[in-house]
Amino acid sequence: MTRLQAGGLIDRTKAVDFRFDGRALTGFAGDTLASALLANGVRIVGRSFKYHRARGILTDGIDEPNALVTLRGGARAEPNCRAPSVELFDGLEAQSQNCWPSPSFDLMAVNGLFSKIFVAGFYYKTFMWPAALWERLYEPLIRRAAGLGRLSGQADPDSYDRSHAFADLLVVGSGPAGLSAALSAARSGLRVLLVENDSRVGGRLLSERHEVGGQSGTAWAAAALRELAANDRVTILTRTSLFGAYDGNSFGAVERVSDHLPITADGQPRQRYWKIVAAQAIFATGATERPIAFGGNDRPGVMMASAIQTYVNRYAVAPGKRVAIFTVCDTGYDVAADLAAAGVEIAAIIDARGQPTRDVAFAPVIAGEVVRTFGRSLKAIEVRRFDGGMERMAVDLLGMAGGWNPNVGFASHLGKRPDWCDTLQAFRQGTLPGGMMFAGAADGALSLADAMASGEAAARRICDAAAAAQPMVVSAQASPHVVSDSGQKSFVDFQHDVTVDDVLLADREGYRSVEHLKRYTTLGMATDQGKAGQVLGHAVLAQHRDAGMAAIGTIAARPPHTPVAIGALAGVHRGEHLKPTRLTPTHRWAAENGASFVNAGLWKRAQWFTRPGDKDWLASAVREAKAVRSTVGICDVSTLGKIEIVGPDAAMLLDRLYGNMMSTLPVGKCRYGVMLREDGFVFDDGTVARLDDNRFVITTTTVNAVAVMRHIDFALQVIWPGLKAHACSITEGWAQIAVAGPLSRALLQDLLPAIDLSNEAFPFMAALAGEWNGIPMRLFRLSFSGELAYEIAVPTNHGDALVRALALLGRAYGCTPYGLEALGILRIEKGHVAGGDLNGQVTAHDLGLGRMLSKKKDFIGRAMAERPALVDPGRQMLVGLKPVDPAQRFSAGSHLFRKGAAQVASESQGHITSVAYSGVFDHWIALGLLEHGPERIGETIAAASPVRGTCIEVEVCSPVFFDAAGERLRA
Amino acid sequence: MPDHQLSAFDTILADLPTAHPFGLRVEALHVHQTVATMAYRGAEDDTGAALAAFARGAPGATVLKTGPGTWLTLCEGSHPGLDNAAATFDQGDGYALLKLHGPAAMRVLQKGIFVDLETALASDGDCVCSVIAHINLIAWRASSGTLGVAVPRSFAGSFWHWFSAAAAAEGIAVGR
Repeated sequence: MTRLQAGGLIDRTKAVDFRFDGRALTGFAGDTLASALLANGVRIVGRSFKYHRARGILTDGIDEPNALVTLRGGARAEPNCRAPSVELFDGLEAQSQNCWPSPSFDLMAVNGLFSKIFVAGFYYKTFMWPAALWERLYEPLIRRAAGLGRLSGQADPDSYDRSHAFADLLVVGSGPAGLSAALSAARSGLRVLLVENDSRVGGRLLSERHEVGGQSGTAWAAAALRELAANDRVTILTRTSLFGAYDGNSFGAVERVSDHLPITADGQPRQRYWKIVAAQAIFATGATERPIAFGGNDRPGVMMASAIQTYVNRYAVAPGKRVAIFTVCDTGYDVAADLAAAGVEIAAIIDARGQPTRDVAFAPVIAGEVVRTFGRSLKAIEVRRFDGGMERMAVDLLGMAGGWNPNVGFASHLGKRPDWCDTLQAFRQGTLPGGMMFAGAADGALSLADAMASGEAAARRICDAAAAAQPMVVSAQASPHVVSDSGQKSFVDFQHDVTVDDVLLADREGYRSVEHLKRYTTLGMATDQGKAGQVLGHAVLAQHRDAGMAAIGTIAARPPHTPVAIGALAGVHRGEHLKPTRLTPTHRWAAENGASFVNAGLWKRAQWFTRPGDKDWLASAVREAKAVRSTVGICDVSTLGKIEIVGPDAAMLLDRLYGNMMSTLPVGKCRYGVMLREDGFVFDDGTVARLDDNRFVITTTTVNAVAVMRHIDFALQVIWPGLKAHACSITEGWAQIAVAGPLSRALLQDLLPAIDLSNEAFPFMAALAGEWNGIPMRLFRLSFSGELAYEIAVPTNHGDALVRALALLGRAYGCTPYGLEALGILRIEKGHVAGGDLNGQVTAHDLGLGRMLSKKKDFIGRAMAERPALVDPGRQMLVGLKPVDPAQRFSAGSHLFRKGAAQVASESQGHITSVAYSGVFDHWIALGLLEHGPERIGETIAAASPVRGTCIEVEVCSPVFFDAAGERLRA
Repeated sequence: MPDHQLSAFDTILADLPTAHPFGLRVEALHVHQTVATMAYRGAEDDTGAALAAFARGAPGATVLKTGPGTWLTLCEGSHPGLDNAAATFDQGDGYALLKLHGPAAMRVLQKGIFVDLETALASDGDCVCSVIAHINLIAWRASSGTLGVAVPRSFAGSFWHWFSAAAAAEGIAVGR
């Protein structure tokens, strides 16, 4: 155990049991998985991605590249969790990754023997030939080798939530700068949202031993938190990672609501995705300590100095017994002092700046650099003294203090790359996106006092635009440090095993842009996105090319800043709730009556109603269609778009929208209409009913309901804004039921005894508005089936009552509910186009509707519809098709060929658009589009489906199979 | 009147508990008429004034400004005639209506609406047209602590799925 006897922000009264690789261990409340592992003496926690080198814990936060573990098990298994970011809880189970059988003994470490081969670009160079092996061998091999961790392969059993937040000021980070900014803004009355990735506010104050105003930094942070929490204009989100900055001052964040809990409460989500909009944002995101490149710098026991400081001060864990600190900045001395105060032996402070800045009593200070390390887990280091000679030193912990990189990546999300700052010797944000500021260490103010002043000044500038800008203090640092001639692998990117040599190789092979370097070597990819080592890699390139860092530049960070679970983005929209569902007014009745439902857009529509004896869906559909032809059937057609057009110019508008004339339609009548697009092709079809002089109701196909509404809005608002007319969708407002069949009049007459429904009083295409049982009712004599038929509409809440009333009265007439499949059979028998026939590439002429287009008026699409190619008689035009052998079946999508022609695309003369099995004719029938179609009635052609491997002979016929004279619908 | 007059939310809310205490009380709202009004060009102000006068004189009537020159009226009696100034459309039962009572109402709705409700619904009668869970929605402040919600009727089930999950995720108990 390496737990210190005192100190830390852990609760020693609450022991927490957990398991790592099956081993039972104990930590304390307040620990992270990383701190608890270190406290239990676990040094090797995983293996590296490429070389399978033993790896320990490097950092204390989200930048951790090494200690990636899989949490939990079964369907809840979550790979690639960073141990320093995982809060410990009772029963936590963690597994090491990328190793077998264990991280201490990994058979795949044999990869390391071939490390001279597995250099940057290995895949690109190796798997070039033979091409025949690309897909059969290379791709499966590479895919198997790729990736870190393994998904469970099971559906995620947890739930995820989404929310929105709005603020005058978003403060990201709750370190000294963030808290100072939030306090200042809150005291000025701004609505403040403070987002903190950690479970506690305080940032580096929790890791260091500073005093603020005579109290400990931790106490000051706690007091600041109390003040902010008491302000109802302030919202504090802890355990929340801001992952992206987007246009319009919007941001994305994920709150880990219950990741730290053993069991979630009922309804409690695992995580919550926040969309945030803030007028201003202050990024007090701190800085990331950068490693130093030297031989064996990835060995377990080599850690970032600041991380050691965190483990000692916050978690009361000494990650080693004898420690050396390799530093190029004063941080190394602060860490050594904290270690010494905790009673840890300091072997040496090795300062690579040549001239140590401090002389300390508790440790020798050596001007020099660590060249290489030894031991499977760190046992010793070799130091090159600048005054001459090499010294081997026995230590089990080495801290790297390579300087600090301000965390400025969020500005890059909005296209603003940082600039190199010579004073800071790091990239600092120069040009800022609108509404975004950086403060504290994120802006180069590395000392506590400077950071707090920076945060407060940033908030002041937001609260008072007239306030004079304060000169910003930027700390001075040494440049990123690279040790040469170590004789060991020297890593710049620990997660992807990118070495100094890889960077040099990329340069030799021409990948000199940092963006090319990234893609070629994978420097800065993977879950940590190179937070720790990327700038070090760029420094290697700069030194090798003898160019300044300003010239080399750095990459553009892109969202997400930290990994985001897809589930968090989806929220409740998964499975059947991926998209919303629309239910018809008669849905419950249909379900009670054995309906099977099909998705029609977002609608659930009854597809057929299964009855005892129906052997399959087709039997149900054919039975229903036959019932409509022989007695009467009822079908919910509420999903068809219904739009009211109102106003003195409504008729004029309709004349311009439809190809045929609508202004001559008398009140109380309906008319079929065809609407064209601007390009002259058919857009949609439907009926127009005139309810009074200035009020019309039009119907659209279900699929085009929204598109037609948008089309009319565009026409009214953009093309003819002067028309005194408006349009409004009433689809949701009215339940509409088709009553079709020879006995439909009798049934409806029973329902509406006060209305004369005789053919004389209410003929085909008549319309009326009246009442049914004291509620408004609209009745239309329309027929999609080709039978005597009506459509009756009532306000939606009464739709259920209406269909039940029709079903009850209909028992005397053998009334049968019918679904979409029967509807399809009926309309194909009648030759009515729909769905696949109106595919956006057909003209009115193609459908045999050319004569409907008026020559007496202008309308949308008229000019383009008259283009020669669109009225060419050789175009594919609507025909009927039936199999020469009635026992044979064909399928929609089949191509049509001349009999005997080669079945190749160039010979295709059209295709089948709709098929149905006709119970009336007892064979399959179809509608299709065929070159010179109407001229070829009686011809035998071939219908071939390459997909299904079928080809049958079919006879071209009229598309109207049933009741061509229309006697039944006018009966 | 028919036996089966089903408001979309009536059946959905039937299973909710009625016992106290609740974080959020939900009530299916029934109105006699829902009318959309669209003013003709140049008549927007007159139409707005006429509807405002109507709202003042008709107890229980709610007039929501849903866009430039457009309103949605929920009322018990007859809607005023505006023939020369505006087109009116009886929306029938096109909207499923809810009233949400309690301070948690705003918090839950805000989870789904990407409009700042603190400012958009600052006063009684304020109205916002937005989208929740891919469903068009009109929300308004009926009074302090009470919000109204209108969603297209066919989407009521999907809206409720979102709403109940959103409230549960906050630990907010919902009752009627």
